[in-house]
Amino acid sequence: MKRFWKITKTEFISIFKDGGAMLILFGAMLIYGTLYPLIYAPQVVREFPVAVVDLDNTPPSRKLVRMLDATPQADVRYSAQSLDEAKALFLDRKIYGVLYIPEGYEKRILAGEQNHVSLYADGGYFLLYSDFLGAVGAVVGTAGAEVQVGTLMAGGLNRQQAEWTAMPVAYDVDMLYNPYGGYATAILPPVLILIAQQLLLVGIGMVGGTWYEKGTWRKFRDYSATRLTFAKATAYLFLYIPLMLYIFSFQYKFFGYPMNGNHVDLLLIFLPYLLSVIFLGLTLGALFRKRETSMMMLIVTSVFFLIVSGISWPKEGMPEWIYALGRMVPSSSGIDALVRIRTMGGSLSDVVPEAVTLWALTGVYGLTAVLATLRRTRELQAAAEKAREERRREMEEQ
Amino acid sequence: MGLFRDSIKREIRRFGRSRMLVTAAIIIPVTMTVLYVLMFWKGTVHNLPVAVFDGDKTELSRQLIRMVNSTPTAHVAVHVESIEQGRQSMVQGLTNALIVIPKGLQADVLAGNGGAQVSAEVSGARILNSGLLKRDITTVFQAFNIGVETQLLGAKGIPAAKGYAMAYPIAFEKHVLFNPYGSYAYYLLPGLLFLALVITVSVVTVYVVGSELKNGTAAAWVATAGGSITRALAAKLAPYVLLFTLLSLFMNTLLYRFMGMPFHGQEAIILVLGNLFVILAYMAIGVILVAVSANMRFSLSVAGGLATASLSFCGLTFPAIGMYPTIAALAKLFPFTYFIDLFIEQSLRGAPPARALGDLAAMGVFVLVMAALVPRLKKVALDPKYYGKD
Repeated sequence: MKRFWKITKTEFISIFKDGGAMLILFGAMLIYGTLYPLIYAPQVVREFPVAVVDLDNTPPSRKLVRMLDATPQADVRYSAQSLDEAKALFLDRKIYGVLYIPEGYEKRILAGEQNHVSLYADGGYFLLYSDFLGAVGAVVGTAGAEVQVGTLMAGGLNRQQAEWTAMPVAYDVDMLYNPYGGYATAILPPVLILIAQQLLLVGIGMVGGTWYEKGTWRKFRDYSATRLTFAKATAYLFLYIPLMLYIFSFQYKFFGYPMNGNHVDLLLIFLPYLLSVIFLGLTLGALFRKRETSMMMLIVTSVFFLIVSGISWPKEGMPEWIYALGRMVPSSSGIDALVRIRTMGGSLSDVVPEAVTLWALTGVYGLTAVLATLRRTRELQAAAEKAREERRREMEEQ
Repeated sequence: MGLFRDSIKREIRRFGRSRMLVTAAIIIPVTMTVLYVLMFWKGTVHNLPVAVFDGDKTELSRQLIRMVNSTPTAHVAVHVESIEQGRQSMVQGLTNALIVIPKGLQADVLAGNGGAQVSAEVSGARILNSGLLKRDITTVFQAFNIGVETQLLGAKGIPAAKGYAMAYPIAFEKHVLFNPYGSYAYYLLPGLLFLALVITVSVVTVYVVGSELKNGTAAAWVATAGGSITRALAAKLAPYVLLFTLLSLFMNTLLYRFMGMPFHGQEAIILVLGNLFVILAYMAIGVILVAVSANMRFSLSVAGGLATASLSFCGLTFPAIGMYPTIAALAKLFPFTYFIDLFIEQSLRGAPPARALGDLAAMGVFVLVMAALVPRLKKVALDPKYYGKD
């Protein structure tokens, strides 16, 4: 046990005395943990500028325009005389949507004929496009219902009957777990847990590479690889559990993300999550020979790991084998489990497959970490043996 | 030219000797490019699983379920026995939404008592899924109403065509501009590919310059170029400009040739120029960091972090008009913001090529800043006190 703590202590010292490792493991976690939420903090885009092309310009068409302007999403800032004019505004990034009302709009309403209005939206901004579509849909639905009620009442129904006929099946579509459809609420929890993984991997890899560069490994070449692995893992676990709780409690509260689920369930997911990440890091760390190798190899994988988890681009949109391959990275199951507990209020029993996957990864990467460490200590033992041999031969020759 | 050629040879030898550099500069980005392209190959999202609670179990409720199932995005995967069970299936990650059809739907409709209703709960945990499903389910509910009303009016003797016009007095047609197939992948995938490119450019540039300091070989590097830091730097970076330009052409080929991404631009060369400029701009940031900090490891952390954050700032995920003004202003400090603007304008919006000039100029500014710091780089390169820092 004494040997165990000696390794843990050496690891702690390697981390705390190393400005580079501290910057990655702590500094970056705090910087990213604050910066990314700030970028997405407005959550939704309100009152984005749109234009109308109202070729009818009658009381009912102007009313439709006013109704669109009154929605929280769209702000009717321009009134264009033609679609071409509106398109020019589009290209100049002055507007993000157009509502087109054809000539004869009022006449058709009075004649009881169907009207066709058109909306043009920018397909590049998925959020704006969806919001604009929703806003126009709601406005047109309300205006249409008024027209219908008028027609039906003219046909002899009373107001209530007319309203029931105009909308025979009342409906509503609610958003659960994220009532305003906020971008940050959906995307930040996954990003934060992913950042924890990436920084741990880079940080552990950096310390591992430094151990090689500085010859620290040599001090421990006669230690058992299992003990080395577990002692090092203990050091990182001690450092990161408080950090995770800080991010997922304090930071969460600060930025107002949903805090459902209970803390014990969360901890029971964080434990195998951190362990599997740490063991993966130790595996890589025992293979790297330079301080900077982990950064060169791992920074670029961050966004890829986020996407392959299926949180922003759904798994239904990607080939199954890539999604399955992605499960080998702890963040994939970690993100799913975190979102379902913290955001959706699930319990541990709702994330059994993810928990099982994380423990399996802990086992697999624990094994690879021991093997990689064993390879390193063997290498060093052989090198030491060779050096001793040479020294002996030199002595004999003298 | 001899000194320049010697310097280039020296750099290529250094590159070839470092297994790590070859992995980071070629193997990883190429592998990731291929994986990304395969990942987005389908281009659109179809058949997201949803749960249905059908408390009515009548011809009318089944008609509604069929309508939900025939939308492009929703696929009725589970029939649940209770609302609770439906929510459970969302929390377990099996479904993305729950359609609730209460008992008595058909009876209420026929009675005309205004009591008929349906509802849907969409999980907001995944922003793309929830956006698509909310849109499509709302459309289905509207269409369902129009259909039911047309039938009701028909029962009163109003012919179907007239009844439909009455039930749907204001129809609207949606036109998605600049994205004919309505595929978010056409925006997201290029963003991800070019992000991987600029991250690679950043870390590799910092490494190839910074390792001269770390290993204490910077003086030899400058000496090979005959003592000229400008020549030394140009010769060092030239092979990588070529390498990364090839990498960007590889990405573009996959996008436009194999994925069938539409090109609405007027001049493809503008896009290639944009690629070249964004590569140069991130190289410049790398060199600036090394020159100022004289610390490779620190520069790697910062350059890697800046390059990765570029995606969030560039407005492709969350639009710039929605950001806090301070954040939107910060976004202007990232070359990627200009590159994405240029890419969208020139390839998807078909804007006139002249509009790209501003973006190119903005990216060029980063190179000018680097040029201004070349003397500082020389000082750092030639003074052994800056060597060996980790």
